[in-house]
Amino acid sequence: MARLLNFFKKDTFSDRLQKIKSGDSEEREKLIQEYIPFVIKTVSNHINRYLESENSEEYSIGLEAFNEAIDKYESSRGNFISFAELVIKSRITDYLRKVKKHSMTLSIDQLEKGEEKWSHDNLRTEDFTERIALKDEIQILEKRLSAFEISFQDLVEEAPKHSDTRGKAIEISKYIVGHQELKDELMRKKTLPSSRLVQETNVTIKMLKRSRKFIIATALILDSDLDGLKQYILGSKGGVSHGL
Amino acid sequence: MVYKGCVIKVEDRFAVVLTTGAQYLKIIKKDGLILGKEILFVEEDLYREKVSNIKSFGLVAAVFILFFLSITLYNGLGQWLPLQQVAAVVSIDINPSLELEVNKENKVLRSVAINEEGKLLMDTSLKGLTIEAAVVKVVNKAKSLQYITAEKNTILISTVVLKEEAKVSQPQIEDAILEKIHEEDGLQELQVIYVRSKKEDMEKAREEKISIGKYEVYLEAKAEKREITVEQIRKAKVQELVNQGVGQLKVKEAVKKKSENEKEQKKEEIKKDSWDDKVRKPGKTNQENKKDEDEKGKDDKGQLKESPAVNKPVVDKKVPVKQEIKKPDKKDENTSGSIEKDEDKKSLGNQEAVVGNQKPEKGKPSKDDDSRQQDDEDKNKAKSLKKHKDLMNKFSPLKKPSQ
Repeated sequence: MARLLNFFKKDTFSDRLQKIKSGDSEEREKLIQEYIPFVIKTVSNHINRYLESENSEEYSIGLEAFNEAIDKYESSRGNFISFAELVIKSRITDYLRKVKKHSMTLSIDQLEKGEEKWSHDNLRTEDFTERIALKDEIQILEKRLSAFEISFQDLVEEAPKHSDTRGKAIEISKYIVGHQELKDELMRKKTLPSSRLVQETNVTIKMLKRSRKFIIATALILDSDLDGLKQYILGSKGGVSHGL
Repeated sequence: MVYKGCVIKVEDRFAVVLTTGAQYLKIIKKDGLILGKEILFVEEDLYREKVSNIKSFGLVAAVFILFFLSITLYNGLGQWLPLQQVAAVVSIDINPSLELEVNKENKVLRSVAINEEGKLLMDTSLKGLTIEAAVVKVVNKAKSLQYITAEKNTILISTVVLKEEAKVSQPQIEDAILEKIHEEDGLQELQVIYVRSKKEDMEKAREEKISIGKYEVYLEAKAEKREITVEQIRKAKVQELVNQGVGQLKVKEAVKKKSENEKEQKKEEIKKDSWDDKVRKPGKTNQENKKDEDEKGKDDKGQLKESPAVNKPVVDKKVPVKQEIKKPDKKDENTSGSIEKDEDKKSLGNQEAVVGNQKPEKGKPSKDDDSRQQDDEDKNKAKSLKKHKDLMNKFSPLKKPSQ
C-alpha cells in the first residue's frame, strides 16, 4: 500500500538526484532534457553570444558540465541550480581559453585587421557559406517589403501571436502565391486582394486585416529565391500542415 | 523553451529573428550577431522594452492624482467645502422675517430672525433639516400663529448663493420648496413669491436690518423709480407688498399636474391670475397699503394673454364701480410713472384699495379686446391732463363694460 502511494507522489528534486546517483540513467536523461533551456541560457549569458546550434562546441560542453554537476552535487554545496551554473561557467571558460590559443596561432599573426574579423566570424561555423547567402536574401527581402511599406519591426509588432493564426496566415500566403492572378494583383496594387481571397477561401476580412503584413511578407518570401527563409516558414506549423 | 531562428535585422539594442515557427521576434543584442546567422535562444533572451521602476511608479502616481483632480474639478471645488460652511441663505418673509443659512447639501445650519416676529418662528429643530422641510415647518408655525390666514397667504422667499463653489442651484431650491409646500395639506393655497439675490446685497440688507428678500424687493422697486423707503418695506407685510406690486414680484406657478383637486386648481388659477395682475405690474404707489392698479396697466400686455377669460366675469361686475378709478390709473401707467402721478394716486389710494383686485383684470381684457385704440387715445389725453377729475371725466365713457 505504501509503495502504491509512493508511486503517485511526486518526486522532489533531491529525490530525483538521489535516484540518479544510485544509477537511474533514465531519470538522468529526463533531468538533462528538462534543463536544456537552462544550460543554453547559462552558456549564452556567460559568453554573451547566442549559441548557434546543438552541434556547436559550446553546447556540448555546457551539457557535459551540467552532467558533471549532477554527479558532483551534494546538499552541502547549497542550491543545485547555482552550483550547476558555476560548473557550466567554469567549463566554458576553460574551453574558450583553449580556443583562443588555437585561433591565435592561426589568424591574428597572419591576417590583417579587416580580415581578422571576417575570418573570426565566418571560420567558426561549418555552414558559413550558407550564412552568407542568407544574408543577401534577407537584404533583398527587406527591400521588397519596403515597397509595401512593411518593415521587419512592423512584423515583430503585428505578426499573429498564436501559432494557429500564423498557420492560417501562411496558408493564405501559399494560396496567393499558387494563383497567378492573385499574385499579380498583390504585386501590382501593393496590397492584399482581399475581396477575392474572402470569396475563394474561407478566410474573414477581419483576419486579413489583422495579419495583413505577415501574409504579405510570407507571400513575398515564398515567391522568391530566398530558399533559406522559405525553409523557416515551411518548416513551421502552417508550412507542414499543408503537406509538401 | 528553445527557439531556433535566423537573424534578419541587427539594431543597437536588439535584433530581429525569424524563427522556425515563422515568428518574428526581437532578442537582446549579444556579441557576434550578424545577418543571416542561425541561432538558438530562449525566452529570457526576448527583448522587452523596459521602463524604469521609478518612471512607472511616477506615472501611476500621476494618473491617480489626475484622476482625483478631475473628480474634484467636475464636482467643482465645492467638493472640499466643509458641510458646516454656509453655502447659501434662504430668507422667508411674511410678517415675520427670518433667514435660514444652508450648507452645500441644502440643509439648514442656522436660522436668524430679522425682526421680532421672526423670533417667534425660530426653532432649533430647524437645524439639519432640508431647506424645503424647514420652510414648510416655519410656514406651518406662522399659520398657527395667524400670520398666515385666508386673506394673508403670501410669503416671500429669497435665495442667495454665498459660495459659488458649492454649486447650489437657486432654481433647484425654489423647486424643492415649491414642491414640498404643495405636498403639504393646508398649504396648498399658499402663494409663494421667489426672489433671487446676490451675495453683495446681503451685507446691505443686514445693514438695513431687513431680510435679503425684502431688500431685493426694495431694489426692484427702486429700479422702477418707485418712491419707497427701506423702512416702509421693512414694516410692510408681504401680502401688502404684493398687492401693491412692489417690485416685479412673481408668484411661481405650481406644477399644476400635481394638483389632484380640480377645485383647488381652479382656485389657484383664479388667484394666480389676480395675483399676477397685481404682482407683475410695476408698483407706483408709495404707500404699502395701497393697491396698485398702475402696475397692472403696464404689464397688461404680458398679462392680458394669460387669463382674459377668467378675468372677464370679475371685471364686468366691478366695472361700473371702478371705472372712474381705473381710468386715471391707466392713464397714469401709460404716461410712465412720475412723482406727480404717484401723489395723485395717493389720494385715490383708498379707493383703489377697494378696487385693487379687480382692476388688473379689467385692464387685461380691455387691452386684449380691440380697445387699444382707445387706450392710445387715453394715453394721449392723459399726457395733457394732470388732475384726476379731468381724467376721470374724459375716460368714463370709454370704460363701459361692453366686453
